[in-house]
Amino acid sequence: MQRFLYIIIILTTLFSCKTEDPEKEYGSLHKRIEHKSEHYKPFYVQNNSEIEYDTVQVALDTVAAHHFGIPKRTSMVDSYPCNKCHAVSIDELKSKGGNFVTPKDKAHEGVTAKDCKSCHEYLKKSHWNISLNHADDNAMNCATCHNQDEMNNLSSLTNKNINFNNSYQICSQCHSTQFNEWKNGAHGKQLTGWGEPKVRQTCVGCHNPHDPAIKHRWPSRLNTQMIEQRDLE
Amino acid sequence: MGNNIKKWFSIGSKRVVNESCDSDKPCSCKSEKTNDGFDQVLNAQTDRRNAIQKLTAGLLIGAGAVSSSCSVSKSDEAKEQSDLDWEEYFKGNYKLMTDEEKQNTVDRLTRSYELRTGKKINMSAAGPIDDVLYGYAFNISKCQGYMDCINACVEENNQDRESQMQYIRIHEIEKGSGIEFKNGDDTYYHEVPAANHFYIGTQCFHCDNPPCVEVCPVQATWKEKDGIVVIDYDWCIGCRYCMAACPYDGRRFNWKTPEVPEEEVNKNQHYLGNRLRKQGVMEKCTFCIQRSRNGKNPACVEACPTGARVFGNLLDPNSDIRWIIENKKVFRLKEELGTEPKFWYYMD
Ligand code: SF4
Ligand code: SF4
Repeated sequence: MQRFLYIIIILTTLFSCKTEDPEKEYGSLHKRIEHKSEHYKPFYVQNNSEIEYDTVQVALDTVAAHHFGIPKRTSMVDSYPCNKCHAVSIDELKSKGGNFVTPKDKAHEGVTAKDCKSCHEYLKKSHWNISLNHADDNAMNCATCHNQDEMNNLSSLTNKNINFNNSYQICSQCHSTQFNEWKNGAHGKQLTGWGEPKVRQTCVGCHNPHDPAIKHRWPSRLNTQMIEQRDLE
Repeated sequence: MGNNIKKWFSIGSKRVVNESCDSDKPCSCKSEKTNDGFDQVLNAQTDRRNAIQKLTAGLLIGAGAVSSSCSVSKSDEAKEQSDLDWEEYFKGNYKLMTDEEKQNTVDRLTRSYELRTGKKINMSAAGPIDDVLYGYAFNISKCQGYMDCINACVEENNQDRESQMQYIRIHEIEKGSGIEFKNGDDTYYHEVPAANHFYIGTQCFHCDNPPCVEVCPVQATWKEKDGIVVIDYDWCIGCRYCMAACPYDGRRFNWKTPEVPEEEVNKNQHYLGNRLRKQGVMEKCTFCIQRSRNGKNPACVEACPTGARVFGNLLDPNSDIRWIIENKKVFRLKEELGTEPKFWYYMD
């Protein structure tokens, strides 16, 4: 009889362990995540057409050690390349007395008819709408970011050329905290999805570099039903 | 038994195969899992099973279905529709279906939609991806209260327009009063961000230990392997126990049949996600299952203009979400309840 009882006790303990949710054995979600991610294999998005993202615009170079792509900037800047108009440096222009910039000069020497468009398409309106609302005059002017001698490039604080596609390198000179969060994913926006390949919006994708603050605006919806229901309560 | 009749009383293609074993003896070739419809309901395997099935079916079937299916005057389409309705009516719980049965029900629903509206939809029965556990992070410092996420969610998930159903709520709370939702306002309409206020979004948090799942009397809601808490809208009886059990106001009830203008219907659907629901069932955020199981981000993440929303795979040690959880000061709501929501809040 006693032996029979023992067997029952052993059996019940055995089975009560079996029916436990296997996920509960970790005790907490964090432990489970930690343990299960040991054998993680990256998930590649198989159906790329599902992603509404122009892969041509994704720069394939990645930020060192942080593997993600960023959208190309140059194809989004209307009047890029800048030297279509800015053929000479700003200093040279100033010395010539020109207060605006042309590839040749005001006299249009040696300019053929087919060249007109290279400037005049943009000339009339170029940059009229840009006013710098970013830090104060003491800290920043146009030349802080733009290379005045070679307009196709941005320029670092120590006058090193930086490609427009890598404009985050300009921003990160001052905004190092934001840069650190951005490259790790806590600041900014994922573009393609959670799987590989990862693509992340750059600084200038959300912030206008000449006026970077996020603006006030109205919310995009008003739920009148919810208000009605609450009023009824 | 004629082939036709067999079809009448078979639910899913599995059944036709199973009919081949001697129905006078208890059938040993079925396991509970592969059974669908009636077999799940009356899972006792008696030799009278067939008789009961036919009897119940006979009682339950509407006279309309009988007449349209048998009548020669009805069009083929009407017959097909009522056949589909019939099989749909008696299908089993999605959770217990085999992959084939899942695909069958999805095919039926797609066909049925086509018959009704003449439009094609693309419905998926995609299962969870291996080595994936979805998680979400929300940056309270970044959210400006624009509510673009809600609009995107409503459009993506075919939510009812008239009752303005929304899975996400954005709460405007005065700074200094803590995160107290009862002091918050989720129906503000003024320029945002308002001075001295902050914004915090809530939706279903896809708890790892979901109390809503525990209380469902018919197991119409459950947690998938990838951590998404889903609802089988066709199995839900609308008792709203789960709504009461959710500590986060994550669930919404359909008081009326959701209506979406035809041109606005998102045709890229998932059985457990944004397919058009019916009246009297529960629905909620599914982390856009139709998108996330495709590698995409949920619609709210894509729509947020501030980057306050981060989505990712918790099992990927290099994912953004993991970095946030491990390096930022994160918290979850009502952590003391032990629900383990997979939705973290953080600040800059
Ligand atoms: S937030 Fe609510 S509805 Fe979502 S899983 Fe948790 S308890 Fe369930
Ligand atoms: S409303 Fe539906 S999902 Fe919620 S507990 Fe009731 S049957 Fe289950």
